[in-house]
Amino acid sequence: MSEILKIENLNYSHRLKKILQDVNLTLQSGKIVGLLGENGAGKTTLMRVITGVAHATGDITVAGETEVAARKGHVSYMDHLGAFSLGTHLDRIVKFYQTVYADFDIDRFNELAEFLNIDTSLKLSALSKGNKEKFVIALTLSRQVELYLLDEPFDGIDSMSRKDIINSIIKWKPETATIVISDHYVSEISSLLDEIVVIKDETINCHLDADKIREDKGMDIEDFYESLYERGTDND
Amino acid sequence: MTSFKDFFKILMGQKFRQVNFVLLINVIAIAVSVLWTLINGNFTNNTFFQVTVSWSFIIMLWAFVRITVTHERIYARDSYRLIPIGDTKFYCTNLLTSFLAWAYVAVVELIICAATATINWQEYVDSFNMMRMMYGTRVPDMNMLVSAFISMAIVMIVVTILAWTTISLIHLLTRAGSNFMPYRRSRIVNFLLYVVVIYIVLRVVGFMMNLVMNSTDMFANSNDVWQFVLYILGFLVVSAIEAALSVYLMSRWVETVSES
Amino acid sequence: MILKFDDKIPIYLQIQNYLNRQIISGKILPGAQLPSVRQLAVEVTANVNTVQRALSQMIDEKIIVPQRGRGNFVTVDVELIEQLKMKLIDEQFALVYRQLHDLNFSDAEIIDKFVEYVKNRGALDE
Repeated sequence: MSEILKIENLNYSHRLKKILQDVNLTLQSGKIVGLLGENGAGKTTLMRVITGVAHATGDITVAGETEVAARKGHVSYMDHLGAFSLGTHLDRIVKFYQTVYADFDIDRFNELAEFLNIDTSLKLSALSKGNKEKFVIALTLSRQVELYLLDEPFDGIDSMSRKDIINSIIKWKPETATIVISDHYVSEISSLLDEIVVIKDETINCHLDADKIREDKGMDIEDFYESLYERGTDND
Repeated sequence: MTSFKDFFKILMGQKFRQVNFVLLINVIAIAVSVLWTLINGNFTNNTFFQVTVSWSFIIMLWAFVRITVTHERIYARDSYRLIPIGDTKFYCTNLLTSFLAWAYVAVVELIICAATATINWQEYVDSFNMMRMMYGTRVPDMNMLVSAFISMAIVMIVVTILAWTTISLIHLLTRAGSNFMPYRRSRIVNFLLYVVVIYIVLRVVGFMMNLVMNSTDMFANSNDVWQFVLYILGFLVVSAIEAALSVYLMSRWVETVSES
Repeated sequence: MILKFDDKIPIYLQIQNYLNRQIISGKILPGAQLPSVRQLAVEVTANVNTVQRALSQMIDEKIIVPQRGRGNFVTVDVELIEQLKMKLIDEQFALVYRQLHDLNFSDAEIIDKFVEYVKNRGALDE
């Protein structure tokens, strides 16, 4: 097992507001990690900063690379396709990915597309929210990298699609790769997680082994997560 | 890391498709205009050329605007900025592809203008010769016309590049600057920021251009060609400075639109 | 069978239990090959690492025998499976016993009730 991600003394402000402070985090390879926190806690920001589309102070190392452009070659982040007009055919977007990412595995994409029932002859405008999300996830998982960042992949998705997506994550996750899944609703993914990382009060509140929480505290992950907030209000 | 070749292919394809759409509209517009003149009974040998030339200006402007919108959007979207490629390469490829797309439109326009001119070519040559006979040497000869055309083309190339580097600088400065503005009323704040940035950038660029012109005047007030080359080089230096500044902004301050 | 996890109990333990039960009930026979880790992970909807952990525990307990390059096999040692069965019965009885004891039933009463229950239940099933 090796270190896939190392974040040291990261600070980030946006529009005069501190979003993340003194973040330190190390993730090992081969894990599925839940990134938990309330809406607006900074989960998306942390992911954006890791990929390099947002800039923070501090050091970020992904698979040994610190330089932004090189780092981008080791991280696959969900791109919500805002750059493409609604009339764009999915085929064209797949082609875009295939051209632009040397690590894009078209066979894996085709398998995922079949498994998730994605019709790539459609236009972007013809997709429901759930189908678009599936398409984005298929694209994201089809790159062969060390670190995958899935930002709220189940947002607004029905339970059947959710199951499909969870299964595709289990099925297609490369053995040594680490997947970070952010979510503000824990219970839907808790059985899937090796570890959880909670962002609270602009920093990493805790980083724990999921089964260790169950073993030591006899709590389910959701209760544990909620207990962090109760403790917070007691102290105030 | 993504190679220049692959990145180029993607950006070129995108812009090429866009300008081809513009050109398609151009052809339709010319056809409709000619038909209209035909119906009105004003059709002459000259009509094709007149219609094509008058549309060509509008089309060039439209193509420029479309390319510019795409050009700027590329800096701020995850789909592009997640690509593992260095910022300098990113910037240069974007500029190069925009330029090629626009040059392509210019060349196509030139060709259709020339083609429609041939319909009535003899008449234009006759009137040109007539003018020469009447006004003598005050009317330029063919050599001078060609060199005037080439220098015009060079000026146009340089001005387009300068326009894009300036627009990008304004856009990126504003995006970077908005990170330091308060959350409240972010729309109004962004608008004001744009106004301020545009004002400052235009003032600074204007000042630099003046500097270029004055200094080249000092160096070479005797030789026209030499002065022209210095102007052009001076403009390109201004562009290069803007580009360098933009790349710095991209690498440190400019963030993409958050889509989630 | 679809496994529904109780999120209060470590997932690897639940997977281990699930597999143990399949072996005891004979759904997976002694000497049979287990599906690959990833297949099992998909089957129970859990993480590959968690499944691996459950399997490691079972290997430690010798219920599963790994064969290099071929995968995991259920032990052919029927004795061991028998022990596993006894352990499971033990666990279930311990649970019932403790709960009934908490309700102040005596040992004799518990036995009587249980015999009666099995008799009725048997009649019901026939």
